[in-house]
Amino acid sequence: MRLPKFDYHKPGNIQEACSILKGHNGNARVIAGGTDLLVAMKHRVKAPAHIISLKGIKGLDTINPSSSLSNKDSIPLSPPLSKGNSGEFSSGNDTLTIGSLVTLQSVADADIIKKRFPILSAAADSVASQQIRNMGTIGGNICLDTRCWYYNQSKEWRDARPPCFKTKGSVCYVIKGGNKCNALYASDTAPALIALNARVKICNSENTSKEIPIENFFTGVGEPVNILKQDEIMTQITIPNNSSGGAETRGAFNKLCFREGLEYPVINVAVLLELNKEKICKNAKIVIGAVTSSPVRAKNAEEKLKGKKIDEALIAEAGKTASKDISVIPYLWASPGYKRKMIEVCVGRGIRKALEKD
Amino acid sequence: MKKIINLKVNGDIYELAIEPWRTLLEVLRENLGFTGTKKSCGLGTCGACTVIINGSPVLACLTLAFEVEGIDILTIEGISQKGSLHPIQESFIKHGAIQCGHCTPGMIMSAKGLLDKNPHPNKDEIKKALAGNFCRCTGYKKIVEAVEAVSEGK
Ligand SMILES: Cc1cc2nc3c(=O)[nH]c(=O)nc-3n(C[C@H](O)[C@H](O)[C@H](O)COP(=O)(O)OP(=O)(O)OC[C@H]3O[C@@H](n4cnc5c(N)ncnc54)[C@H](O)[C@@H]3O)c2cc1C
Ligand code: SF4
Ligand code: FES
Ligand code: FES
Repeated sequence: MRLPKFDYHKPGNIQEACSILKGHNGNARVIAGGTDLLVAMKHRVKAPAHIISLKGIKGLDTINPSSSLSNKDSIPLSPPLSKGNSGEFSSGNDTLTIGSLVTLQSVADADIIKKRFPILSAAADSVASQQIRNMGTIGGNICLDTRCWYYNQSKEWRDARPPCFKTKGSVCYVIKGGNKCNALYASDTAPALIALNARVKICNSENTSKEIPIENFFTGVGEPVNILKQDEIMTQITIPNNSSGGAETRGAFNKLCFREGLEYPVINVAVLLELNKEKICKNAKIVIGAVTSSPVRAKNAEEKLKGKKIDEALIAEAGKTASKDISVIPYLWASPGYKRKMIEVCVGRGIRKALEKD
Repeated sequence: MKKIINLKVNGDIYELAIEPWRTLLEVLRENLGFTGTKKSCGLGTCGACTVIINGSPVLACLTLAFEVEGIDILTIEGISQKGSLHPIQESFIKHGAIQCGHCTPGMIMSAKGLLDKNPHPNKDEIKKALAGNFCRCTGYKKIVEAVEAVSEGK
């Protein structure tokens, strides 16, 4: 399949990139690794007249452990670590900053991420294949488009019926009679990043930037997927060093797919637990992806665990609660009943895996 | 809207006038005649188009040629040296890891990416590294054995 025609731009800095985006008013897109965008373009679900490469912009492909103070300006004060290197946090206030162009393989392999945020490393390592992890970026993974049986198809296939909400039409074939797109958001790193309290930095053409919790980055509907405006670009992801007075943090990333390799998740679950010396759960985060149009926190299930010593009965209860609280999108790749049951199972597996490390 | 770019393939530099929407795979096969890199799905799901860029296996069908200007690109044609096959190629022949041969260049480039990074992988690591390469003849067992043999120096 050939790509549709477009003009190619390779700006040298973020502001220029944002200005080009603004100048083309919705008819331009940034390309990072291209593994999501180019497939969509080959299918003609997207056909921007302008493609803006981020590869000419320096500093977007490094992982920096830096003091939270230095985050106020965009230049990290500490010398950048080259990809995959190890590094240490110097104090409890420090953060880890990951440039949006760092590849998923570099995220998976970086010693500091393996050590401090193993659920992020595991999530990145679970994506697709070696080749796609070498190309796909963490920024692209977060800005990933939603997926649907009626959308991720060739033009010929889609031409057989009127366009749906996702392609500027006015129907949804998944939830009939609905008034929005219900496509699934299946990024593997996003649930892990939400569990880790990560923040994303967004720059615009006015040369201003903001940092927001990644949890607030998503709209909750299938189209538009995230809150990025036409002239905005995500430049970095910052993860706080979740050290909390004496408690021990443990996590697990769990991905359910129909086969082990090269597969989007049917469900993915990121679990993060804080246990004190007596093994009482002080804090819990359970984030579930791929079953709705954005990752969702199972807040009632989190509450069930807090303040208690976790045993099998409590795990079962948390799984049931999570499953009950999330209204899955039906019939996309699996039946609603299967998805509900497997949320229960996957949450249970995640909590057990997190506790396992004794 | 053609633009002149320089591509560095297997150590040689080629000056080409191409349009921005051409993929590296199209340019390798159609402009430069490197037809060893295969095309199948064009959508990232089969790995037939795997080439090594800056030491890492990537998919040529999802790479814009413009994006890899001046960067080291290695294709299956570039891994044999002075007329003798690369040890991974030898091993594929020896173990009968080739049926129709369509997936073979991609398999070998993925295997090379793995072995360059991790010279002694175990079976699971080999399977994981080859997970993005689809063999339509389904000869995976022999392919994994061929890669295992190279890592063991056999
Ligand atoms: C066969 C196959 C299997 C896959 N399996 C998985 C899987 O298991 N799990 C998974 O999570 N993903 C999977 N993916 C999707 C994709 O490969 C990854 O999500 C990848 O990380 C996307 O990153 P990218 O850099 O290639 O994104 P791109 O394709 O470059 O960009 C994706 C989108 O984000 C926008 N964008 C990118 N970077 C920025 C930025 N910095 N600021 C603003 N917007 C931006 C682009 O404009 C585009 O709309 C798969 C893809 C394929 C082809
Ligand atoms: S969920 Fe509905 S609107 Fe969205 S892509 Fe699928 S069919 Fe279209
Ligand atoms: S042709 Fe590139 S992955 Fe199939
Ligand atoms: S040998 Fe025929 S596709 Fe693998």
